Amino acid sequence: MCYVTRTSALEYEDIEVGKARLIERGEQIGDISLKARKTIAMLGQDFIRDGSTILTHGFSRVVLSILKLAAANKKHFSVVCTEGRPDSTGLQMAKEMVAIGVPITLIIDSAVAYTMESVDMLLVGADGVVESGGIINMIGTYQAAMVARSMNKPVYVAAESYKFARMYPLDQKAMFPSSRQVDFHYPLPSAVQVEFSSRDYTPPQYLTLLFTDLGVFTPSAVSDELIQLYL
Amino acid sequence: MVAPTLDAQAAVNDFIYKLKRRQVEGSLVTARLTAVLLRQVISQQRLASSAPAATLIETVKSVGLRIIAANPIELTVGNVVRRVLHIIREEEASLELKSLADVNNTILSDDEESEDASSFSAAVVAAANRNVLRAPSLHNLLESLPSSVTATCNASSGGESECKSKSGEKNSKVWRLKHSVIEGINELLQEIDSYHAQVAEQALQHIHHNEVIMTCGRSHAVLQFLLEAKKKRTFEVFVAEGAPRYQGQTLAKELADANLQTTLIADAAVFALISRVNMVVVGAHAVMADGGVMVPVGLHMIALAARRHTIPFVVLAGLHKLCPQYPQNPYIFMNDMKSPSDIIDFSDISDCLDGGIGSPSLQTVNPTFDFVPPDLVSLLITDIGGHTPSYVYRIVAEYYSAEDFVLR
Repeated sequence: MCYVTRTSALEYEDIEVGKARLIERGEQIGDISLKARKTIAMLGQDFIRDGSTILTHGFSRVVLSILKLAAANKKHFSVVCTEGRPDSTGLQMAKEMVAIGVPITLIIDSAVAYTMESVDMLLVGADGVVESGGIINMIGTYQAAMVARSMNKPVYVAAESYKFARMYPLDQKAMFPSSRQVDFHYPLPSAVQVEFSSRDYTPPQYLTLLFTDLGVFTPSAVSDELIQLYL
Repeated sequence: MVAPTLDAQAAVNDFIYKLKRRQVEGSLVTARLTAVLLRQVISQQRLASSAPAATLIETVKSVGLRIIAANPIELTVGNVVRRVLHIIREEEASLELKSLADVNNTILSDDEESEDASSFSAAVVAAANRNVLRAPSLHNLLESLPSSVTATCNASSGGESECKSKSGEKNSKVWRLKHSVIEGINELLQEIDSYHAQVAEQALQHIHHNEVIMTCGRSHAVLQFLLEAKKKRTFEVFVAEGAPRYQGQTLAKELADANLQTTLIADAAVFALISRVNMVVVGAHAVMADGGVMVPVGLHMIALAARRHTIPFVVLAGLHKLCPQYPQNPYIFMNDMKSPSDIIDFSDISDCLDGGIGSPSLQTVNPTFDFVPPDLVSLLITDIGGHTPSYVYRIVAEYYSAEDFVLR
């Protein structure tokens, strides 16, 4: 997703000053993002208890910051991570977990239901949080959340507040087509159609809580916060 | 950290002593005593004329942290502390707005002042307005308010009042803040005292003729609720006795004394009889921010039984029980493990206590509370009306300030 802001601060005569201002704003967004992640890490790591197993899907820097802070606070937990096709970003998450000394198990995406009975919670990031309180995230999140719900495991989402979007998707096709395509890594007959979306929408009834830099919210509280943000 | 005055210190220490020794029990009594204590601390606190609200907040926070630590299980202490902090912040904000309006008025009226002074103060007022009324928004996410503007705002507002020689006005501003905060706490006390009556008033909306109501244990709120409904409706009540304290037996006798048709049952019989029941009504120890409730032990099972038979599970709770925290590990962190002698006598099990492996072979656990998740609760009846658990976040946002959720 892209975050577009309008600024009147670019009405400079001198292009150099305008460029400098743009760079400054870019750095500011980076700072805001880092600060947001720190707040979310503080809020989220309270929910990780000793002896718990956390299932995560793919790679999210926000989730990583929560897990890093929990590990730094000497909590004993283990992580199960999905491979995260088509990006295989789960491998990156596995490397990071090894680096901070957290026991990590890597599973293929199809093994989510198989492992759900032995995990305590599902923790994912989000590419976008929509008005209904649902999230848009890497494909496979909806599946994992549905399985978690049916087995009464809590589903926690970690997302910064600038990811809130004024969208209300009614089905899976309502999103913008993603730029990242799926590659099956072997040649297919030309008549075979490939489903190439790499994002899905998880409706709010499958989510338990959202950790944001504005606080911890239930999915029903999200639309109130959105109104505040877009005022 | 600002310490309260000596008299207030003595009162605080006395309250902490009582809390630690569990001489203060019950959320209503605790809430009341906490509010009265904080009112005393505030009224006796000397305030400097610069940033009086910040001093008040610091004092209440430091006292609050100590009394919360004395009994962390009694969540109403923390709730009342946060309510008082919210009152202080609100009163400060409304006084700021009023004084800004006053400055605006004086600017308009003081035409004989030099042009420079009036234009400067207009800019100051505009900056102050932006400061006070601005909420985080995506539109000004990257617009930074230069800190120099706020500094000049404070300096010149001080300069303004000095040059107008209204130092007396500042002291009256301090007095007004204290006065309105104490009024706010008095309203809070009134709300705490009248919560049973407010909740009971709504009984007629929920209990209808010839219904069967089920409850467990003994809750004052439920008792008042049922007695109020009895005045105009005929209905029956099933009371589960609520082991191991068996307070349900007391409630059953009280209801029978009031001529209500009551049936007393064992907790184990709840599932067998719940299909005959129209509604389950219980009291709560605390309501968490996600809409889940801390209730006396055994009620989670009754909630599951009610869900199984699609029977509404109604929880009565006062606003002072509303906690702005999320339940992270409610069965362990927020549970009170009482003495196992309620369940079994020590003499009966003393021979099983030496297992030879270091820990006893037979252990007894007596938790006081159960956590019922929000999807099992149908309705929360509070003193401001009936709400679904998904609405609780709105009530929390209205009665508490986000900065106070985590007290440090």
